[in-house]
Amino acid sequence: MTDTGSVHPVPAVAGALSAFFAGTGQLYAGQRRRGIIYLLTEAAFILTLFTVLRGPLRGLVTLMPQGRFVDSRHILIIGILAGFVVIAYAWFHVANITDAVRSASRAHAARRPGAPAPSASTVRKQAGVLGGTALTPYLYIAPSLISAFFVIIVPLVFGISLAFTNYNLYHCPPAGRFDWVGLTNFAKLLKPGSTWRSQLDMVLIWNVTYAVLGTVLAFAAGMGLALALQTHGLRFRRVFRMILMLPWAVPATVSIMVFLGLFNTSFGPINVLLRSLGLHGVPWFQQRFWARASVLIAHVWISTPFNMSIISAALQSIPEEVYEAALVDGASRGHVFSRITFPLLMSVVSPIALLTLAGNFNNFGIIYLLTGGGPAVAGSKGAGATDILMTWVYNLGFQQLQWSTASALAVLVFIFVVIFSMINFRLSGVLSQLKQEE
Amino acid sequence: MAMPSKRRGKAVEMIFVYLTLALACAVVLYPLLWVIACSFRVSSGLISSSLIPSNPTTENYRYIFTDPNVNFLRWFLNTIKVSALSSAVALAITTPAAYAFSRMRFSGRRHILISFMISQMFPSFIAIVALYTLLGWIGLIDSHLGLILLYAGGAVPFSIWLLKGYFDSVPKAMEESAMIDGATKLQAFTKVLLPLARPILYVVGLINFIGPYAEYILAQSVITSGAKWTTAMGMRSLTMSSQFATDWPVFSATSVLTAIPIVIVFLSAEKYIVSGLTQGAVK
Repeated sequence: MTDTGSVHPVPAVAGALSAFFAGTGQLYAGQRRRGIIYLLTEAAFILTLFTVLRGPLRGLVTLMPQGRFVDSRHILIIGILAGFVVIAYAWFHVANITDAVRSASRAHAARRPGAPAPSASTVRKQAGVLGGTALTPYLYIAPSLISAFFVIIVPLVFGISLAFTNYNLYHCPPAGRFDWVGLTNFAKLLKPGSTWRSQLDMVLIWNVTYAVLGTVLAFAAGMGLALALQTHGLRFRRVFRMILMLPWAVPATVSIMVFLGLFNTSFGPINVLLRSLGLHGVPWFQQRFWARASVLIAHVWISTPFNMSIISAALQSIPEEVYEAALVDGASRGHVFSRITFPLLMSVVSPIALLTLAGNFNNFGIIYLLTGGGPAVAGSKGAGATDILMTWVYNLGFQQLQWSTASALAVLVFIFVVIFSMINFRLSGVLSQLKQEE
Repeated sequence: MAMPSKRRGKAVEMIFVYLTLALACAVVLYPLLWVIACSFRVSSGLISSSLIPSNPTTENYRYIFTDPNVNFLRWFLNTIKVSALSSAVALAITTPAAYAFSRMRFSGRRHILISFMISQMFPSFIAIVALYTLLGWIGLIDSHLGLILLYAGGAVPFSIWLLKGYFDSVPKAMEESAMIDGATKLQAFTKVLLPLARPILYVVGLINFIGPYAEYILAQSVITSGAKWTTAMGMRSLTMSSQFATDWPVFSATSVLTAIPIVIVFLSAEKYIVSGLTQGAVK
């Protein structure tokens, strides 16, 4: 059955060898150069694991001072970086095993008499992720990936890690040090009946109300204006549109600070006007209801143009004939809107509407700059009447130095928004489209 | 018989439409015109709700350019520098990446794109502690370069998604024929695709300029010395001041000057921005 003399590399053996020590499987399969490179890489990794990486990794587990790193935050970050090196290495190791199996089965096939020599392109394709031209895409994405790694990914993992520590005023580096405490922070926040829990519920209810009301109101206003601008025979359409786009054009930080003046209880023009009419001024930032109203008013003012322009674009994508056919059939205008325009519109804009809803859930800027979360609520753990989870997280962290609780809250928000968005992406087909592309 | 009533119905509708639009324009314009009016008001005077100041003066504008505490020109130049460089760096690093995500297939592609999307949903200021530490290690606390790196890095996921979406909509045929004519992949990208994608490059560049232009939270945690402040930080310091009411006209003047460049740029590129942002959602 088999020809005599030469050794036939068995794929399973090659895989097992490479799993034991990278590169050995490749050597066994007759790939000498690649085998040596992999072997040296593995050796170098093991060397660093016991020298450079050892301290940081132990620091990650114990959070105890390691060498010149004494600040718990620094120990944690350097530990996370070391952890990523290990993960990257694990990825290499797995790739190395599949590569060994592939090399062995290719050698096996090649030794069989009469087997066609592999074409250049299949060799290149089979070179795998670690060799040859397959590296090109990684060169293109490397700068982005490296910056996103340091600016987004590492800080994100760090932020999530803090949720499992006791980093607060009493365990605050550089003077103090913090430790791993497991799920204590989550237990504290979620335990029914506790002050933290009731606080969380209060903030969450307003947070959801704010996100839903803000999104719906801005969407409705945007739709009304888009429809109005769409009217046949409208004059000055461009002028109207330009004016209505202004709130989007003005930097939001500037607009919010302008609203700070507009709502000001002593000199703000709204209250001045009310007083000149003999009415009482509105206690904008002092009372729960009015503070919340001010936040929503500013929100709708700022985000209506975005909704308006998206709905305008969607309206223009609905073909004219659809309306004409309906009108010929004798449908009333109200009917045309509720049965044709609105459903078509929603099918087009609902993914983006849901995405804005998720964004508004964490819409930090308006509340932070306008009310600062206030007015204060008696007997609370620092959350005010207009605080959403995000502004509360900010205050807990930066003002009260309760970083661990703040991070646990942030993780809860994160999970919530990710689940919500994933459902949204699944419904709108973004994820399956990515899969299809491959 | 039906015609006149239909025409009257149309006329009523038009009146309703014009009234709606006029009301909306009034709501949009009042805060803006009020701030402009305030910026021409005497600082010590009472602030009224009227849109025409009684004794218009340019004193506030002179003040913000000359007073050492309100060094508006300095803030403004810092802001332009930080925003422009952040935008340039972001564009330079994300354009090739978006090209790879759009035109090449490689292992990890989908996972990276999805992680980018998910990473955007984490509350970013929890990350500030880590960012501050990392910047400290490379000695970039209280430096514009540090802030620029944070803005550019933070802009990566969003920019890549936006650019990739546009690249996907450009047919591959032209690049392929260029490559048949002997162009390399890199040449096909820079000489064929990039010129075609100019509109989206403007949009992404602009969005990444506008973002940092009025950003406050990150700026405030990285920059400490007053000479390096950006406009948003300077303006915030004015609203935090104890003499908020008397400072209001001065604050208004800074608001007007800060907003004008962005408003002009935004409105002139509005068509591109809207289509760039909506083309993924509205097909």
